[in-house]
Parts: sequence; C-alpha cells; structure tokens
Amino acid sequence: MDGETLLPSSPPLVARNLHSSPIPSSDPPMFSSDDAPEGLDNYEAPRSKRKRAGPWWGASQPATTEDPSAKKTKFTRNMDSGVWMNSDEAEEEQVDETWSNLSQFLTEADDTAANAFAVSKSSPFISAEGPDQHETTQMDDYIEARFYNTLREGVQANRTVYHFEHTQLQDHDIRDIDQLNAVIKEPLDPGTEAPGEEYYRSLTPELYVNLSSNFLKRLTPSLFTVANLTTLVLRDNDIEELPPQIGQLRNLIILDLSRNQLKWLPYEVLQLFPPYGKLTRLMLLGNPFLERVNRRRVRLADIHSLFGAVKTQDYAQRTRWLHDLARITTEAAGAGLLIKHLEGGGERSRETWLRNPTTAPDPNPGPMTVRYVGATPPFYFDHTGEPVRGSPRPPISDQDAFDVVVKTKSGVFGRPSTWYQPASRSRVLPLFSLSLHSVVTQLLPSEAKEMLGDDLPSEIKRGLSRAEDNLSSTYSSFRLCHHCGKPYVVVRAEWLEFWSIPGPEFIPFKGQVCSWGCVPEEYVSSP
Amino acid sequence: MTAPPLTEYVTLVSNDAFEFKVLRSAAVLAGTIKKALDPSSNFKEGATNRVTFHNINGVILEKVCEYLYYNQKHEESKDVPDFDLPPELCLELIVAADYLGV
Repeated sequence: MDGETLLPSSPPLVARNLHSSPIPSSDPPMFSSDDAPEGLDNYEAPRSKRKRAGPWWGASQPATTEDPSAKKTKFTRNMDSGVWMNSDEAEEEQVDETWSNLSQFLTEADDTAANAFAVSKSSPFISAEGPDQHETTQMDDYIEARFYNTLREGVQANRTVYHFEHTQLQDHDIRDIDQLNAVIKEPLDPGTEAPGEEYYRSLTPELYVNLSSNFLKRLTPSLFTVANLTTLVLRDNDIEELPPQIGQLRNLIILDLSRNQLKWLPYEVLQLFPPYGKLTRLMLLGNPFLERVNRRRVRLADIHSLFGAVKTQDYAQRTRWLHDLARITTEAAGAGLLIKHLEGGGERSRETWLRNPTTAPDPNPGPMTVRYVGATPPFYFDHTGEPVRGSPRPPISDQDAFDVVVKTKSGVFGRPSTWYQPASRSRVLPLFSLSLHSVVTQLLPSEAKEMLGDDLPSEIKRGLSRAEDNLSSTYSSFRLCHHCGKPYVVVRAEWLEFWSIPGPEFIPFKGQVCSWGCVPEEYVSSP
Repeated sequence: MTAPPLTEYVTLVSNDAFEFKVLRSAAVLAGTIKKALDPSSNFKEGATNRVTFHNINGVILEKVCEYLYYNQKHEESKDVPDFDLPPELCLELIVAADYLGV
C-alpha cells in the first residue's frame, strides 16, 4: 500500500450509475450470445393508434409522442410481469395516481377526438358537416383542457386563488372542480426561531374561485363538495336556479351572484348566514328577482335616502310617514317591507329547517346581516304538482302580481282579500305520492316512463316529469322538504319569503314542502 | 224508492276474485270508491255495497286496503310512520292509485 490517498474512497461514479440504473422489467432479455432476431433491420414498430406530435389540446407545449394512453399500457405490462421493480418510472406513476381521473378523462377525450376524426375521414359525403363538428369538439376540448391545466397546476402548487374568468366554460367543463379538495395549506416552518402568532393560525386553506363571465347554467354537483371554498364568484353567468346544494358550502364568506338570471334564491342560502354560516357579503345586483317593490323601488329608495339625509333619528316619525305613504300608494306591501326593515326586521323562527345537527350555531354571532320581513301566502299544489283550484298561483316573472304579507308593529300590510286554506292538513302522503317516490327511488324517470308504456294516465306522466325537473335543477330526482327534511318528488306547497339584506334590498327565498301539513303554522291562515 | 241503509263495511273485489271487507269510512278515502258507493250517484255499487275492480289484482288491492287503513289511522297524527311499500309493486300501485284517486 502506497498511501491512503491512492485508494478511491468509493467506486467511480460512472460505474455506480451503470450498476444501479434500473433495467426495464418489460424488456426481453438479450444476451450477446443470442443471434440477432431475423429481419431486425426491417423492423417496424407496431403502429400506435394515437402516435402523433404534440398533445391533442394545443400546440402550446413541446411536441412529445408520450401521451397518457401510452403510459397506461406500459403500466399494465409492468403489473403483468409480476415483479415490482420500484423503478423511478413506477414511482412517478404512483405520484400521478392522484391525476388518474384526469388522465382517464384525457384518454376518453382523445378517443372522442379520434372517433370524430375517423368519422369525418371515412365518410366524405358529409364532409360539409364533418370538419365543422370536429372543430367544435376540439374547441370544447380546448376549453376544458385549459381549465384542467390551470386547476391541476394550481392544486400541485397548493395555490388558493383560481381565476377562470372569460374562459367560455360550460357546466360539464367544471365537473372535476372537486379536486380543489386536495389543496392543503402548508404549515410555516419557524426554523430555530420561537414561533410567532402567525404559526398558530388555522391550517384550513381559504379558497377563492372566480368563475365569472362564463356560460354556467346549472353548475355542477362537485362544486358544492369543495368544503373550503370561502369566496365564490359566479358573476355574469346564466344561472336561473341556484341548486340547494349551495347550503353545503358552510365556509363561504363572499358569494357573488350578480348578473345572472335568478328569480329567487333557495331557502338553503339562509343557512350560509351567521350564526349558522359565515357569509358576510352576498352580491345579487342584476338579477330578475321577484320583487314586490320592483317598480316603486327607486322611489322608495329615494325616500329612504332622504331619511338618511335628514338624519332623523326618530324612527316613529319615519314609520308614520311611510304609513301615510302606504295608505296612498297601491304598493302597500312595498311600503310595508320598508317599514318592517326600519323596524329592524322580525324573527321568523328559522329553527325548523335551519337547525342542522352537524354545525352548532355560533354562540357569538356577528351582526345579523339578513332579517326576515315578509312572505307571500303559500301556493298549494295537487299530487301531480298542478296548482290547486282556489289557491293563488305562484308568480313566474316579476311582471306577475302577487301578495306579500308584512306584519309590522303598526299593522299588517298587503293582506290579500281571500286566503286559501287547503282541504286537509294531514301529513299522510297520498298513495300516489308514495308509489311515485318508490318508483323514482329505483328507476330513472325516463326508464319508468318506458316501462309503463305509452298509454300512461297524464297524472303519472306529470309526476314523472316533476322528477325529471328535479334531476335537472337539483341533480337528484328528489328535493328535500324545507320543513321536515324528508326527500320528496312533487312540491305540494311553496311560498316566497322576503329577507332584507343591507341596502335595503328584499330578496325572495323560496321555501318548498312535501305535504300540505308541512306548511308552517304561521302561513296557514290569514294573519 | 228508499235509499238502502249504509252498511258499516263494504266489499272490494279484485279481478282475480279476492274479496276485501273494508270499513266504509276507510274505503271512501279513495275518490273513485267514494263516488261509486255514493247512493246519490245511483250506481249498482251503491245498492250492493260491493265494488268490483276489473283492472286491479288481489295483491295490489290488498296493499291498497292496507293503505286506506293506514291513512285513516294517521290522518290526525303529527308523526306519521313510513308506509311499507314493496318495490316490486310500485309500478302497478302507482297506476292503481291514480285510478282510485288516493
């Protein structure tokens, strides 16, 4: 031994790399002693169906022949070999498992695109239409893929702010938005310092999702499973009816629904306000709400601001003034709403429906931002969902006249001359409703229609179409009763409740129940 | 002609000849049966206190009778227990219920 320095402390780097480089398990063993396989020089790789340059969704990324489907086949082959090599590649695959949904989608979309292409190729006679369709598919795919890319990048980086404005998204494009549930808030590392106050904050991420200026209509069920959503901006879409699932987003602080086609809000939105929820800002401008004070609103609002200008603290005098106004104007209910608002709103017991065993009410609720002011008389329906004779009809547009009853300290405003009382308040559902419920539990409405044949009585047809309507507006054949909480198919009674939010604005919330017996006592008879 | 006395029970007959003797007060909860049994409408059923259904079989009619009693029992109660409905009967039941007006 000459000296220690001559001895290499470890095997040369190159050699080690050679040793540890994983041999792909799927490769056939080749030995130098083997004869070269015949015809190797003419060897042609088996034609890969989707082999082409660049990803299908756009040219923004570098061209590569590797696509999810190719990866998938390789993965299967590894599994078949029965040996788990735990190679680098395999690990990568495992990491990617979170995104298996995505890759599956990509494969599917790829197939669709391929099919569309095949069709346009094989039938030259419809070539006038073919390419157009193909283009549309590609455009849709592009929109959706762009959404996914943003979503995926964001989730991987644990970002909490997502902007999807002006991206032409439709409902089906955002169906995998629940992947936002994977976002976590990374804990801060205090290092060797003593941790300051910021290290003790909640580790719940606060998500901001902006979906404004798109073509959303019904939204998607998965959106409402993103529990940590704190800000949801849906401005400038085509939403006509907000699904009741919105009540699941208990962490919402800001909800922007401006410039949609909403006529009312579901009763479930009330759950989002304190003390049950955290909602502090609800933006609703630019919706065709069913407002009783609609046409007079500007005038009444003027009067209200006049009060502010005069800075009268004498509420009694203001109320008297409005009371006089109510006597001379036909819009008694509108004035009544305002009086009630000035009085500070009333307490309609929200306990029945809003009581939720999963969330206890906040013991120290902040300022109450929403207050009950009035309601329409209930509208009653028969067992197929048609309005009952004699019962007032529910308004369809804000041009329709309807009554709003406001109970104030200085009397009841807007009481209608007749008050419809249902024939029975029994809570026993008709056998028709019970069987319809059972049918819809087991079959889709369309399947049931098919099984029952064409010569169906019109009542059953109507009942089944109610279930279809439910499917399109609440993603399920059933609605949940706003009084007893049970699922049901046909709405038997509904009413609009007006709650004031600061502004003053009176927002209609629609309550719907499963039987005439479930109509709250206070609405059953004339006040 | 004097109206025949109203009996306490009426007979419902299915198309496969099963007979169910049901309290009149329960049977008239179904609109169709009520009309058929009403003496003022002068149907044969009103005189004989016996209603025959040519489109409802025994199994379904039994369930219907069960429902009529269930309805009568719980008409006033606040907390109504669920009515037991066999899934395989529901399609036939919905047609029968629509016909009977229950």
